[in-house]
Amino acid sequence: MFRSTGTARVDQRGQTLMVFALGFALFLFSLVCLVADTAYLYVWSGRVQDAAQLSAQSGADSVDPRYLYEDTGSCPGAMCAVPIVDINPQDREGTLYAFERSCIQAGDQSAQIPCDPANALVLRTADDPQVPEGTVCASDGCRVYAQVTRVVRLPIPLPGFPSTITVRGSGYAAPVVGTNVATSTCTGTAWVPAPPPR
Amino acid sequence: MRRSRRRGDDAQAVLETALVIPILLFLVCNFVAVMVQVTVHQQLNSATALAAQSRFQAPENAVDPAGSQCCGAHGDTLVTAGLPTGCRYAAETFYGTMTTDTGLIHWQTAALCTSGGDSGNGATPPVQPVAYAGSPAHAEVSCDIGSIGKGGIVVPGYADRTLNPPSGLDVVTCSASASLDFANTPLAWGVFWTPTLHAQAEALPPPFRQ
Repeated sequence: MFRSTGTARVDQRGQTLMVFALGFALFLFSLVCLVADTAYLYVWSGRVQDAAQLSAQSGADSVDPRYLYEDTGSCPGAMCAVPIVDINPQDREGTLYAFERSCIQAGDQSAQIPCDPANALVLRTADDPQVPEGTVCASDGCRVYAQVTRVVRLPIPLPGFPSTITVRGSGYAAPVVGTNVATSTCTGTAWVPAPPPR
Repeated sequence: MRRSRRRGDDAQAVLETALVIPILLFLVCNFVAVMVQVTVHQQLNSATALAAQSRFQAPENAVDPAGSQCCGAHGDTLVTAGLPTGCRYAAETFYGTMTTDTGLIHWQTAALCTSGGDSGNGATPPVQPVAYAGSPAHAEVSCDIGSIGKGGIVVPGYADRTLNPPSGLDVVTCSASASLDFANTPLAWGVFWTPTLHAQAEALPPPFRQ
């Protein structure tokens, strides 16, 4: 009688050890996943934020200086759909203003947004659709606002959790007017720190 | 009997702790070092990209007057007189963005302002850029920048032939290289590697500022 109880206890000890080993292995695996994914997301959030800042600066550098010097050309003041514009329609490629094109191009390239998710080597350009990831640029007449969105695929996704996370960065920049002959003041409305409509 | 066993257990625990603590500290040091490396690399990428872009905030034909100087690391100043103003803008942006403690970074220096580089393609061999006359030779960032000199002489920037092939497009490139030296930090205790960081950025000329 004593013997059989002793054997059963020994068996149970082995069972506990097995359960603990499996549970601890699962816990360690989850911990590794969490650390790797968090680090990866940290790196990408920094990259996307940098891309947004560069994108906004690039857009601000592409504003037509004639507009800044009050030469409204064919786009007189309040008639402009977008306050900071390229004055002549022929300067525009497609439907994008010059500042939008530069802004989007810089954002897409800098955040390495792929044109096709299956092929990361071919990057998106300003002529490609900017959804679900991409760069959106807008202007309030005083500054250029850029928002970069990138879908990041996690290196070791946790089972049962999403394998991708959407990371966003935003930045704004003002065009440099520069020399002592500038007479214009910013004619835009007050800056509203809200993302442009998608 | 019991006492001596307990004493033996205590000694074993002390020995195990003495073995495990250095391993844990080693791991922590290396985790922190990797984090520092990622942060500095990100800042380096950002500073280089913004430096290249800031060239376009200066008019292409603008040249710094005599006596102009700017920025630089370790309290140095870079003399930019006679160089395209875009070079100074690039340098100021770079040094303004790189705020990491300079004691940690060992820079690989190069000429601040260069021109005439060519990426090359199948038919054209690549060409290394040449430093502008009077350019500081030991800057932490190096930018290949085009300009318009006296008499309207066009100095080419960097011809990237992957854009608009085969003739390429005249762009601005900036690059910076550095290594992280943990020897002067508390991390030196457990970090025995010296990572080398490199950043290169290219800025396309905007349509109205060329």
